[in-house]
Amino acid sequence: MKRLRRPLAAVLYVIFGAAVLLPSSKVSADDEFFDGKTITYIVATKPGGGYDTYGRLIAKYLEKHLPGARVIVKNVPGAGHIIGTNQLYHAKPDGLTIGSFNTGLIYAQLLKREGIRFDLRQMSWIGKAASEPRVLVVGIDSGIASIQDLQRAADPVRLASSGIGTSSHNETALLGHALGLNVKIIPGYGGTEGEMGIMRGEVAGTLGSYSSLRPFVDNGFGRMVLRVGGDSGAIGSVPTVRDLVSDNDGRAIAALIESQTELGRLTAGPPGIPSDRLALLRGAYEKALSDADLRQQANRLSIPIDPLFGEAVAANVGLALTQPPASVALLASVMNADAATTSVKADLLEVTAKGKRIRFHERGKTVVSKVSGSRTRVFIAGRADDRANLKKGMTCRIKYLAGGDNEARLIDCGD
Amino acid sequence: MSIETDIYLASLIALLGSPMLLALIVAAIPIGMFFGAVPGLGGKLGIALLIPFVFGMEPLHGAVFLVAMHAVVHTGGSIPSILFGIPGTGPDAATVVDGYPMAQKGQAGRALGASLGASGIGGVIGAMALALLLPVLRPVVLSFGPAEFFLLAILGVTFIAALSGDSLVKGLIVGCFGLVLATIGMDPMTGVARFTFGQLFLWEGIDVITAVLALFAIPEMIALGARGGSVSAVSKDIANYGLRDVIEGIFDVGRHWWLTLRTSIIGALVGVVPGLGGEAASWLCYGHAVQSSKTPERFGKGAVEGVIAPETANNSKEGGALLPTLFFGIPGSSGMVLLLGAFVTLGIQPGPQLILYHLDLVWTLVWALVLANVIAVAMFLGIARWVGLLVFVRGGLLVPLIFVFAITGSYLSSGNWKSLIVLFLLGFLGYGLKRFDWPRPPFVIGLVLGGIAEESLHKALAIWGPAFLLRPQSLILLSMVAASIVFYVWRRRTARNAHDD
Repeated sequence: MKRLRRPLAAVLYVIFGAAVLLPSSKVSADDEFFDGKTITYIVATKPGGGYDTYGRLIAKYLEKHLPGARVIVKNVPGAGHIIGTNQLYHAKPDGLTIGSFNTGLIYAQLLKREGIRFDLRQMSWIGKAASEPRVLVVGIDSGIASIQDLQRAADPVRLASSGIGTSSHNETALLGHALGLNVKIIPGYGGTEGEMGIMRGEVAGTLGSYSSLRPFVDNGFGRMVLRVGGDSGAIGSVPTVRDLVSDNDGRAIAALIESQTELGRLTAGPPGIPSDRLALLRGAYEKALSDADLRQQANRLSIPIDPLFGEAVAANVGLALTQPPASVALLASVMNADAATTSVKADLLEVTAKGKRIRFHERGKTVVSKVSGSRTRVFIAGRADDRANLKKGMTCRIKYLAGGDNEARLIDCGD
Repeated sequence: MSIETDIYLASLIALLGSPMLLALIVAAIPIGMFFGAVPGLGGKLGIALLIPFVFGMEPLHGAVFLVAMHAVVHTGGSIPSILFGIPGTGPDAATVVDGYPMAQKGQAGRALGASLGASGIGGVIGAMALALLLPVLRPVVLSFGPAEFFLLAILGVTFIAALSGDSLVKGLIVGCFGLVLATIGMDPMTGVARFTFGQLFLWEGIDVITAVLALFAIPEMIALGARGGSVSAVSKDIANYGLRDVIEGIFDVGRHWWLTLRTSIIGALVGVVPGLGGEAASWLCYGHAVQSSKTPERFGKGAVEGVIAPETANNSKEGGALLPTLFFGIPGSSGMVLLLGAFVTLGIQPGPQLILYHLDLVWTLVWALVLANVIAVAMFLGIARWVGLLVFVRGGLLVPLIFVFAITGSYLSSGNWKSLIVLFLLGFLGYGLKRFDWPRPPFVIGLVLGGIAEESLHKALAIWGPAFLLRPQSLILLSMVAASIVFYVWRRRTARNAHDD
């Protein structure tokens, strides 16, 4: 036995040594994974806008903090950030493609907008660079002094939005519902047209990000009557939506919009990036955004920096996207509804033509309503469903546009 | 009043006396003309790319540099429009319609001169309009809302008739086709994607640069390739391409001084009102030139007024667009969006305080605009002769090169390779139209103005209901639309009578 001990010990030493040394050499190989590689940073807009500016700044400092790596910005514009995000989502998840896109795509995913081929929950989240509190600004001559004026208005007050389906429109509709505002949203005011509309007096106000509306307010053309998100220091004494909502619906809406304001200028990669490379990217991102030079550059460009990294961002995104079905239905109805819809809870008397037409009672009269394949949202037992699955006898909450063929906007059946 | 006069002059003298500022302007001009001349690049990209360079500069220097660069983009954009029938930028498409035929007739030099002179004068008048409108700025800008945009777009559409050449019916069909194609895209009023065939890249609609390249550049190159020879159908010996002819062209601007003045003012006004877009200015002025001419049948075949009108508008609208950008902090055009961002990063805060506290800065920028336009003319004169020679290059060399430019331009402008499919499809359409003598400008008008018309109509109806037509500004515009139609009908009638006699 004694004779075997030394060779055995030697073998054990070798094995032990290998077990200790080999993994560490593997780790250092991954530390240098990005050395000599080129990372593509996809920006989902054309060059020159806010996302492009943030993207290029971050790309520059990512390069600085990933020794040996090159980071190039690639603009993939179109379809309201959807083309770029689709491309990012389906890129090879080797850590060499990351990108940035509009946080408002969370709404798009919640509402299952056409054209979306990604699931934000699955993205490899790297971080976010800024917070974007929203403010509701009204014209200085509009006669509106506070949010209560909008709640008490006798006639609908006109507010401008970029367009149906955009974040500004969604959020204006949601806030209108949450706070009981008597407003009529006029879409089509993209970019700074809303501000021009306010100055011309054709609309009374608009909802937008604080950073873009601030010059308008500072120049004396408008006043802020409501904010969502943002710490009180920066936006002074403007009332926040959280203080004004009183019911569960309102609180859910406030939470959703606030999560949007928190998650500004996101950076992410496609799902499935190996965890060690993702850790490297996250680390570099954190260093980049803490870099004093970047902060200084950002100051000169007047772009605010308020970062959050890695897992925290992933958690927030997950939360924002995990809305109970009732909330999604609420969102859908609020975002698709306009003043002309009638709301009723009724049993379906008849369902014809594979769900294209339904008949129900409303206040003593029979209504035949058209169910559109694309414009009507159908929910059965809390899940989005197809109109062909509507059955006679179901009890549903129906929102429809009275007149003409009474097209339904929302059918939410409980059975 | 005397204080203001002092500021006008003081800032001019300061500008002329600063070698640094003059050097910046001189440096900015070729850059701006380059971005205009290469199809698809455009002033916006120029500003976006230059922002990092101006980053460290003194605010005034940086602002002067950018303004000067942006002022001459369309001066450069007219070069390929005239020489090859390829618009350098969207608004230069209107210059192609008469500028290219002039080159084909061997009058490239004259066309270049006319365009140059028109751009220079247009830019100067636009800058002066900026100055004169200062006191009445707010009411003027604020009186143009969706209702007025709608009626202005309709006015532009009535010009389709004037631009239809011989057959009104053909023009209307082509124009309506343009209007229909304008509906392609994600409609902001309903959130529904129209005619996109499931293609995400069509959500923003048909890219105007792609359409314009497809309708004008591609057919001309196909025709040139088929015909053989060079762009100029006239041989080098008898053609006019020397410096004398360029100067002749500049004098043409003087000969048509009344038209020049009118279109400069119209262009500046269109520029002042944010929301109409750059193409609207040049097409509205082109249409106006056709309508107001005693011999409209010359247009489309090489009438020099057809070059002067859009080119003055292109440059004067920049002066106009600077107004709301500086004073409201609200950009007057998409190029101004970037300029605004650049001003902010330079530390200049646009807004009413500029009039109150920094009037000298404003005036310096106005003069920079003027100087840039004037110096550009001088610089270009130096190289015009050689530029004009390009029309004598053999078609076989030119056609493939131009195709590459057209493809690159379309891709750069839209940011998506799929727009090349649109480019070729519309290119075939354009060739068909040319082959069978159908007019093409109405298509572009329909495409450009259709979107504005529809969106403005919806907004106006949502805000005022059908009663929006009864507002005073609307009634004025309505009468202009009616006058435009009546004028056209009357002209056709008298022409026909003269013909029958």
